[in-house]
Amino acid sequence: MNRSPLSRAEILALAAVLSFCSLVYELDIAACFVSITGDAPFWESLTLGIYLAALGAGALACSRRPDSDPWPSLWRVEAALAVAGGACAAGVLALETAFRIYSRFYASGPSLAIAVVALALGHGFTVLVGWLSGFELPLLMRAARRDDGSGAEAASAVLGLNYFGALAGSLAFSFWLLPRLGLLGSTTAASALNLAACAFLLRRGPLPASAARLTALGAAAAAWLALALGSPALSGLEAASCYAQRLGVIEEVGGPGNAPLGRILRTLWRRAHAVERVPSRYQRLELVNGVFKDSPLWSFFNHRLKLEPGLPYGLSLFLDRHFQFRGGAETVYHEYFAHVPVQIFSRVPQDVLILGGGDGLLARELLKYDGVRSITDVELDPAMVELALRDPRLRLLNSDSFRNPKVRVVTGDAFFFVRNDRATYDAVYIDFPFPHTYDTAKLYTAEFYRNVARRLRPGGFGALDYPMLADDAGQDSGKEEGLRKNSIIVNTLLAAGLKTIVPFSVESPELVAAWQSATLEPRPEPDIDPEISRLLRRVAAKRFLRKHPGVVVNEKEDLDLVSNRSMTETFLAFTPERSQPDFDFKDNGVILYALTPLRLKTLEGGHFSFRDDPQLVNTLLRPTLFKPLGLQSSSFD
Amino acid sequence: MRRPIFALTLALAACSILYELVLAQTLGALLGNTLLRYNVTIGLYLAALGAGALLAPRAEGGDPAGTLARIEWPLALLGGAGPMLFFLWDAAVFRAARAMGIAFRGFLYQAAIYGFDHAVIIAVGILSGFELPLLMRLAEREGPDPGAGSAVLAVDYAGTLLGAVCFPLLLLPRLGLLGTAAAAGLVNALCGAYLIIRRARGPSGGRLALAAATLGAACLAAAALAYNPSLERLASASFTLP
Repeated sequence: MNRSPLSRAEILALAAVLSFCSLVYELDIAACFVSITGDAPFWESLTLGIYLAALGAGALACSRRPDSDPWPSLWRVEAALAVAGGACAAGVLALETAFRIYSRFYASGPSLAIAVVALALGHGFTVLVGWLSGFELPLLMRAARRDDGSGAEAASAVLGLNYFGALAGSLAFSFWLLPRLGLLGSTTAASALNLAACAFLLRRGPLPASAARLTALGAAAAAWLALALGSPALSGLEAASCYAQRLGVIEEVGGPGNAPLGRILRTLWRRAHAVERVPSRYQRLELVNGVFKDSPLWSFFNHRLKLEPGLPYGLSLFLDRHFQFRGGAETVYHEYFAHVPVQIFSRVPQDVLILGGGDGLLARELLKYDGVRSITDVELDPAMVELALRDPRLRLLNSDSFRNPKVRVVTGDAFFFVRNDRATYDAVYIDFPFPHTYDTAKLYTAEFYRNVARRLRPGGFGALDYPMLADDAGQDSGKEEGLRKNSIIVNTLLAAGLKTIVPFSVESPELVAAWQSATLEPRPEPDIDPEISRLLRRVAAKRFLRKHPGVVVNEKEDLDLVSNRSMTETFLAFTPERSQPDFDFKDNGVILYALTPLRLKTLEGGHFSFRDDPQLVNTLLRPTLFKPLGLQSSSFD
Repeated sequence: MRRPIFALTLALAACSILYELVLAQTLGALLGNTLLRYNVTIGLYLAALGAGALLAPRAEGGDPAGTLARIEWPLALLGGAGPMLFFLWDAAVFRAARAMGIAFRGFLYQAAIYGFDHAVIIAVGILSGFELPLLMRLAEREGPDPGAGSAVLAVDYAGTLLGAVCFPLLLLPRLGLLGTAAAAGLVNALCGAYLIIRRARGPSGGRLALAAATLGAACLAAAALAYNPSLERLASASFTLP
C-alpha cells in the first residue's frame, strides 16, 4: 500500500476549503427559501438552526468510532457532499416548481398543507448537507493528530482554519458567488471544489486509489456535470411555472386537471423563452412578453388602447416574482395614482419627489402638467433605471419620461434618501412594491413616513399605493385580515404625524385578471352547487355592468373577468395638515385616458374601514405589517 | 448531577444565537439588504465562535466555572444592549457627519458605522465561543463518564436550533428587536449568577465584585424589558430626528 501522509499545510488548506463549501451550501439553501417566500429572518434563522443541529448530529455520529482511519471516511463524505451539495439548491427549486405545477394544473389553487410539506422536504437537503459536513472537522482533526506528531496543537490549528473557511465562505457567497453566479451557479461552483478535493486526495495518496473509488469519483463527476448542464433548464422551468397563467400555458394545455404531465412540461419549456431575466444585484427582475387580448371592456377602461395602438401592451414586469404592471392596464392604475391626489387637493405640484417608480410610468403621468417644474425619482435598482432609459418597449410605455430634462433620477435607497436629503417638495409619490420581504416592509414603517412628512412643503401632499395582498382581496375569509392591514397602515401614517388620510380606489379588470387564481374559471364557492355558483357570477357581472353603462360585454372571457368579486386597487393620499379633499373635477388641461369626472365623483365617500390601535403601528423595531413564515398565498400565486 | 449543566448549555447556546440573529436583523433595519446582513453575520459568528474556542483553553486557568461566570455578565451587557447601541451609534454618526459636512456615502462614514457594528458582532461571537469549551470542561469534571463532552456538544446544537426557531416566530413579533436582546441578556446574567452561587471557587474578594457585576447586568436587562416600549420609542426617534 503506497500511502503518503499529507503535510500540515495541506490538511489546513483542506479544512478551510471544505468548510468554505459547506457554508456556501447552507447559505444557498437559505437564500433559495428566502427567494421563494420573501421572509429572510425566518428562513435564515431556521436553516441555520437545522444545519447546525445536523452538523452536531454528524459530529456525534463520527465520534462513535474514534479510532478508525479518517481518510477513507473523509473521502466518502466528500464524494457524497459533492453530489448532495451540488443538488441542494436545484432540489429546493425543483420542489418549488413541482409545487407550482401541482397547484396550478392539478389542484384548485395553492394549499398551505402542501406548501408546508414541500418546504419541509426542501430542508431534507439542509439536514443531509449539515450531517455530512459534521464529519469533516472531527475527521480532519483526527488526521492532523495522527499524521503530524504534534497532536493537540495541530488539532487546534485545524479548528481555526475550519472556522476561517466558513467566514470566507459566507463573504464569498454574499459578495461574489450569489450576485455573479446566482443560486444554482454557486452550488455548482462549491461542489466542483468538493470534487477537486476528492480527486486531490486520491492523487496525493493518503488513501489507495482503488478501482471502486475511481468509479465513484467518475459517477460523482458525471452527476455534477448533469446538474451543471441542467441548471438553465431548471431555471427556465421554474420561471415558466411562476408565470404559467400569464404565458398562456394553462389555456394551451386545455385547463387544469386535464393535461398529462409531459405535455405540461413541454409547453412550459416552450413558453419559458418569453420570460426575460434581467440581471440585477437587488432583486429578481423579470419581463414577461405576454399577449394582450384587446376587448371592448379593456378599451372602456383605457382609451389609450384605441388611441395608441401597437404599443407593447402585453409586456409584464415582475419583481421577485411579484407582479408589478402590465402594459395594457397600467395606464388606468397610474392615472388614478398620479391625478386623483392633484384633483382632490386642488393643486398642481411644482417640485415632485417619486420614491420607487423606476419604470418611469408615474413620471410620464406627472409630466403631463405644464406646472410641474421638476421630478426627482429615487430608485434603488440601477438595472431598473437602465431598463426605463434604454429598453425600447419600456420607453414606448413610459413615453420616454426618464429622458425628459425635467426628470432627475437618483439611484439609491429611498429609506435613507428621505432621511438624508434636505430638499422639500410639493408632492411625494410613494410607488413601491408590496411588502413581501422585510426590506420592503421597512418602506411602510412609521419612521419612513415621518421622514417623508419632513420632505413636504406646507400645503404639500403625498400618495401611496396601499399594499393589499392577494389573500385578502375580496375573499370572505380575508375580511378580518383586510381590516387588520387597513388598521396597520392607517395607524402607522397617523403615528408618523400625518393628519389627513384619503383612501381612493380604482376598479380595474387587470386586477381581476392578475389576482385571479390560475384557472380559467373563477375560484368556485365552496359547497355550492355549480349551477348556483354560475348564477351568482352572472348576477355579479350584471351589477358591474349597471355601474358602468355603455360597456358591451361579448365574450366569455370578459364575463369571467367582471364576475369576480371586488378587485380594486386602493391608494392613500395624505397631508401633514388638516385638509378638506374636494372631489369636483378641475380641468388642468391634461389628457386623461381613464380618469373621468364621473369616476372622480364616485370615489367620494369611498368605503375603507379601520380600527384605531396604536399597537398595530409598523416600525423598524416591530415589523407588524410583515407576517412571519412568509406562507401567504400570494407568495405562491 | 449533570442535568444543571445541560440546562445551562441549552440556555447559553440559545442566547448566543439570539444575539447574533438580533444583530443581523438590526443591521438589516439600519443598513438595508437584510439577506446580505444575515449571510455576513452568520459567517462572522461562526468564525468568532472558532476563535473563542481556540482562545478558551488559555483563559481557563483551572477554574472553568469561575471563568465562565466572568464572561457571562459582559456578554449579557454587550449582547443585550447590542441593538440599542447600533441605533444610538447610527444616530450619533449621522448627526456628527451632518455637522461636519461628511458625505453619507463617504468612506469615513461607512467605515465608522460598519466598523463599530461588526466589531460588536465579533466581540459577542468570541465571548460566546468561550462558553462551549468551558461547559465541556465543567461536564467532564463533574462525572467520570467520558461521553459527557459529546453530550454537551449535542445539547449546545439543540439550544442553537431552539433559539433560531424561537427568534422569528415568537420573540421578534412579541418582544421586538430590543426586547429579544434584553430577554437573552437577562437569561445570560441569571446563568452567570447561578454559576457564581453553585460553583465558583476563586478568592472571595473577586467573587463579590463578580456577583455585583452579574446582578447589575441582570437588573439592567430586566429594566430594559420592563421599559421596552419607551426604549423602542427612543430608538425610533433617534433614527428620525434631524
